[in-house]
Amino acid sequence: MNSLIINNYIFVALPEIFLSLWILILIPLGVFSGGSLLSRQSYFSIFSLIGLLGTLIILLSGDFKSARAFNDLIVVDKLAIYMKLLVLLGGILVLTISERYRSLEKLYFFEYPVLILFSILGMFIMISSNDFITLYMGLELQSLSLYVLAAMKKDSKYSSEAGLKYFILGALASGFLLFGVSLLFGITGTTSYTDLALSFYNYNSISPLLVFSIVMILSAIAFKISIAPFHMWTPDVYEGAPTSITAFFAVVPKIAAFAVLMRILFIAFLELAFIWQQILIVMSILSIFVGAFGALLQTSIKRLLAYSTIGNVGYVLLSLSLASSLGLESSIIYITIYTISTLGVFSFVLSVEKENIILDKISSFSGMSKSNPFYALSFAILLLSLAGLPPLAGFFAKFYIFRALVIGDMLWIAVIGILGSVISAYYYLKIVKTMYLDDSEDLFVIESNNYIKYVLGVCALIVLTFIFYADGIINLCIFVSKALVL
Amino acid sequence: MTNWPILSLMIFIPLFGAFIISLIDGEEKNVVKNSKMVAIWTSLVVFILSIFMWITFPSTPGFHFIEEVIIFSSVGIAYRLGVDGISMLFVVLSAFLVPICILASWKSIKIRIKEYMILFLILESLMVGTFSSLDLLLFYIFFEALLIPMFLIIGIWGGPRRVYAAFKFFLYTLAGSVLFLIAIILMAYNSGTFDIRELLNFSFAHQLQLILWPALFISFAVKTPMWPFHTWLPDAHVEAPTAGSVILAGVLLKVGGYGFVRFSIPMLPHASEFFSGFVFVLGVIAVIYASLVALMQTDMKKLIAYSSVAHMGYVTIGLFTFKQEGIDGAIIQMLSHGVVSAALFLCIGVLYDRQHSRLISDYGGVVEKMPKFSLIFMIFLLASIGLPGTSGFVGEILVLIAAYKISGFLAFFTGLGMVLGAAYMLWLYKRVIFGEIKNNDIKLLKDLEYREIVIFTPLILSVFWIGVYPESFSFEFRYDVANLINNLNHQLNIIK
Repeated sequence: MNSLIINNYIFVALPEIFLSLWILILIPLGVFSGGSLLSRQSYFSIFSLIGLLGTLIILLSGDFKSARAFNDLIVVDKLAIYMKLLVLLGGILVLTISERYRSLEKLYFFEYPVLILFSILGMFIMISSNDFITLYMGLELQSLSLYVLAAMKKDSKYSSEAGLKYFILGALASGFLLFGVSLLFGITGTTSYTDLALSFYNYNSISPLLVFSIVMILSAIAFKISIAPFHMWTPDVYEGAPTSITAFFAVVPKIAAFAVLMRILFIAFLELAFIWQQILIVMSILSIFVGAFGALLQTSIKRLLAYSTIGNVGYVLLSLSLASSLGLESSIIYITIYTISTLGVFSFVLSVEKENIILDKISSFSGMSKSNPFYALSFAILLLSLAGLPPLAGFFAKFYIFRALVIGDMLWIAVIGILGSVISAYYYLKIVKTMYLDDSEDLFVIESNNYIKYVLGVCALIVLTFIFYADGIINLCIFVSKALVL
Repeated sequence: MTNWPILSLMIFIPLFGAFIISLIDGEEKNVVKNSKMVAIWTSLVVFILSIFMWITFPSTPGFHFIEEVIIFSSVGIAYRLGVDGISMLFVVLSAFLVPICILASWKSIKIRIKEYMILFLILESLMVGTFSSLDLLLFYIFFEALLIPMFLIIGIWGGPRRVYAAFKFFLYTLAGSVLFLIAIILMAYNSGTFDIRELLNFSFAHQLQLILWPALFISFAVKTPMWPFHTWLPDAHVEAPTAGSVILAGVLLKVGGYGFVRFSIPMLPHASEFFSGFVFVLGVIAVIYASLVALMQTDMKKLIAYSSVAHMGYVTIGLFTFKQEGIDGAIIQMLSHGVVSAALFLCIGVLYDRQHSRLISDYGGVVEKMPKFSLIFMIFLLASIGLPGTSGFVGEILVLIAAYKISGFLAFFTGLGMVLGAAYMLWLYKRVIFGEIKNNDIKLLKDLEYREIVIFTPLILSVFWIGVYPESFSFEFRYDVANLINNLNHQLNIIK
């Protein structure tokens, strides 16, 4: 490993330390400050955004060398920095686009941005973890904040249901993780990824106990990224949670969990690829098809997007299952493009929300290309990108994954995967059809704020013109993936 | 002057025009007028560029007007453009048909004209890109991206069942072409390049060819369309607006044939030879079955759609004979069909604009009220049948000669299809144009107006030009085809 051990651990964990201090300042401020709820809402959001921007600056000002700290409990490398950047980007954009929704739904609680900061802190720890103990710590911090966020709309029974469901199943998944880790500790005597890698070096016998513990750990993470067959919670939680929180769920925790998965698979269990490879292939193919078929008949946009997430994470997992550096690169590219398109999609969903009317039904978008040409066009571009149509960004994301599969000698898996993407193209296209081909009597003009409009427009523009600067982004992803030496 | 990036100009000028149209704002009347003006002038500029390209086209075989910019350095994908004699003519065909389509939609499109014009210009840019790509992935990008504007054109401005037709068109073509993407990746992985020029000289392992060929075949067979992958075509044609049908029949169907001659045959010669019997069977079925189905159609557009299936059957038969006559004939046939089927759809559009019906039974005796139209319709109809002197004859006779060299049966069945073609076309003409006027609305029909004559004149001229002097076209691609056949025989002989 080419890491450099720095005595001064503080600097390695500086972004996390800054973020936790900022949160610790915000909480008493929130509790003791007066003023109306509405005014508090806006300045707390601004404070939180400043905190995230500060973290971003600290993250970028560090040197990009690999370093481990706190007795190898955490690690910072190119991959960690990149994934943290994506998480921050997601967090900042979600906070920006959720302002309008919070005013509409009267979610004035100052805890809202603070909990988002908490979960981002948890994700930072997850991404940097080099040990199952650190991972668990980060995971719980993240999940507990997310459970509360899901149930934030206190007067809605769906929101409470979503929170409770997420909590119970999430707690179960955490239990799986701990169980798996304790078995692993029993077998090898360590929980550190790097030490595990050493103890599995040249390991080629399959002990049932080891397989069992790996299955436990993988299913816990599969739950977090909503991979089938651990996806059941996703549609309900996406539908019940406040829409702005759904936007957060769909993007940010997925990035963190995938970063964790990459590190576990490619550092701790790399030598055991012959065990986990088949498990991952089966789960990812299953996810792709659950995502594709599950979404076909949905009428609610949030449920549809939940299935779309399940399908999309299936592709990322499929490319990770290759256990090759090419697969790792492609999955990072996919996650990057997925983050941008999904944030754009949710900023559209948030912009059509109206006071007292929940425009959750896809049919309410009909005729939108006439009444709101800008919104309809941007949304259509993002959807077609998710469907994987060239020349939009989503096509290149899928292309890289299929290329990795073909080169990795998994031709038939690639064929199955690409057939799944045709099925999913159908439901994305159905939304485009609703907006462009259907007429509607009650056309309404979207009254949204400029922030949402900018986020939507910029995301659509990035996706549309991706081909012109794709080389830079893709080379960055490849550079980042080199952090995990295979 | 040939140092100009003329192909890029032809791709980006329409996009720029579409961008300009999207900026037009203001009073509804002015928006409509200005969008039409920008669209027609942009497409005319592109057409002039394409003519310029044709005039300055060097007579040596191989690719010319080459441009190359790296897009993905890590994979080796580049924005590579260039045309040889074969693709150059298809670029000209696309640039020729778009202004005609825009003129043809001048009055028949009544809603959302601004968007319509934008989509047509985007379509033009993508069509030129498809035919001039020299990079496998770039080709695929253009090839697939064509679906989006076409989906919207059928879906927004189409007939009553437009949504169904648009979805069928989109999903059929998408499902057909995704395997092509996997094949592209496999081809690039095995040869180490995405560059079509290098791939044309690369010989893939025999086993691999047999895997790749079906993937390519399905994709192009859906586009062409070949029996039994043709079922999307009648629906798409019937529901599409006239100009949509024109582009669909005139250019998009040619992408399939172009794919065969550019990819399947030269890159996978062994597999092509191996499967050629299979293609002949499908081709013969297409020719005879589609002609028989066309005989029984009650809707004029559907009839022409089925005749397209039959004509593209000749094209595939000609291509897979691997003879100079066959491939030359197939390419001429594609160009001719591009003009003739486009013109036939425009003719039906003329009737539809006046009568709002496409049913044959609603017409009869049109000649009495529309003599000029009847003459023009006759010309295109005979060209479609393949009367000597018209464009259809050249392609059909060449394909027939090549088919005869393969086997007498093949030539017999292909010839049978041509006889059936004459039957359904002439019967259509008899029922629509002659006979007594049964329907009182027919008495109110007005003959062609000035704009429509302007649309038909260049089409009539090209029908006769191809028919009387095909050498001016075949001269451009003859040596490219000869090279292709030499390469093919060379590769086939290595193994033997």
